[in-house]
Amino acid sequence: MATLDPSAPRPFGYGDAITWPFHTSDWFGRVVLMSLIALIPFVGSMAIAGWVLTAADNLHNGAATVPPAGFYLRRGARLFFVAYVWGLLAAVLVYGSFFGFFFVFANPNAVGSAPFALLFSFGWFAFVFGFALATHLAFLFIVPGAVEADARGALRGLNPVHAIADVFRHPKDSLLAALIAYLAWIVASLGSAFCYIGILLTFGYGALVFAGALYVYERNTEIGAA
Amino acid sequence: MNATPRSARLSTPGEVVAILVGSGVISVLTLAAIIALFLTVLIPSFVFGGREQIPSDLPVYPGAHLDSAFASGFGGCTEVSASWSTPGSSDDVASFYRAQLNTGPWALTGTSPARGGLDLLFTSTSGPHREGDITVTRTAGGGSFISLELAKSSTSQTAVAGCHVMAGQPS
Repeated sequence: MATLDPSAPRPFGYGDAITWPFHTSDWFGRVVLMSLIALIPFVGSMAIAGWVLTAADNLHNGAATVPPAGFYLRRGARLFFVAYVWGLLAAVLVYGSFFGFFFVFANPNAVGSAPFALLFSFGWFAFVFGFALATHLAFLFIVPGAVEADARGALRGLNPVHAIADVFRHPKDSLLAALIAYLAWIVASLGSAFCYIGILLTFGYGALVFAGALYVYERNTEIGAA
Repeated sequence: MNATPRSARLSTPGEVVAILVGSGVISVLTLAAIIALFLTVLIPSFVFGGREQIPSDLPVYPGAHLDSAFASGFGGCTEVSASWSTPGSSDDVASFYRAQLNTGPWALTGTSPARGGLDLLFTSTSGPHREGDITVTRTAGGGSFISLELAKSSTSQTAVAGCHVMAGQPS
């Protein structure tokens, strides 16, 4: 019977994605500065995407160090592009649906009284429920999608088939990565509860948690290995 | 899979600029389209969504400008709220409605003073049951503001239960 060697280093797991940034001595300053950079429209989003990928690169190289704050635009461009396109499509879909509902609400005659009542009893409930379900399910595809976008490039990374296939090929890792990404999103947005100033800490920290999940997922599934 | 080596996953400066400019332009265009759609479709459809529900045989003071029209319907009853403004004096407008709501398909059921103007309750004399309340008030500029609350049964000659105007009582 094999015995576990207690002295052997424990591999970096999904849970470590939450704590790994604290191993870098000046993590606080880097996180705050990077969160400030992230507030710049477009450029900031691209920079923090590059920062996340650089952090994941460091982890792949065996160095669990938080990268210094900076404009990692060349590293983050392809991930930013894919995230931007999908984000824009999702926003158009979501706000378009809201727009349609408000239009029908203001013009009940457009659909007739019976469909109107049906639309605003079951339709609205179905829409809100479906919206919540879709946004939560989307977390399953965020980490695989980010890995595919980074590995395949901006245009080929737009193809959702690869990320969907990854989720079905690696359901356990996809679920765990989704849970960590969900946690990262909650943590990142927590700062807004503190008069929005807290986001200077939580946004960058959430991004590093996401970087940890990205690294473990890529390592375990070997999707982005080249 | 044909993954790019990790060390080579850097975009060129030209790609970075193209992505930034492209995303900026698309975002501005999307925002402009949303604002245009909001101002030209959503707001007018909300403010004037009930315009078609105002009875065509309801008298409207000549030259009055429709400011808003809302309608909601449930169970065979449609409730309409609308308002007009006109430079005409409130006395003239009130006289107009007092006369017009007592002829044709309408009958005046009561009047009462309201906020420096007049509140007129009326009902239909034929066809599906319709009852309403028109309030004429004086505006600061010497003109008049006309507001309408109307309930109409749309399914039969008789009134739908509960299809009534909840406005002021006749004097």
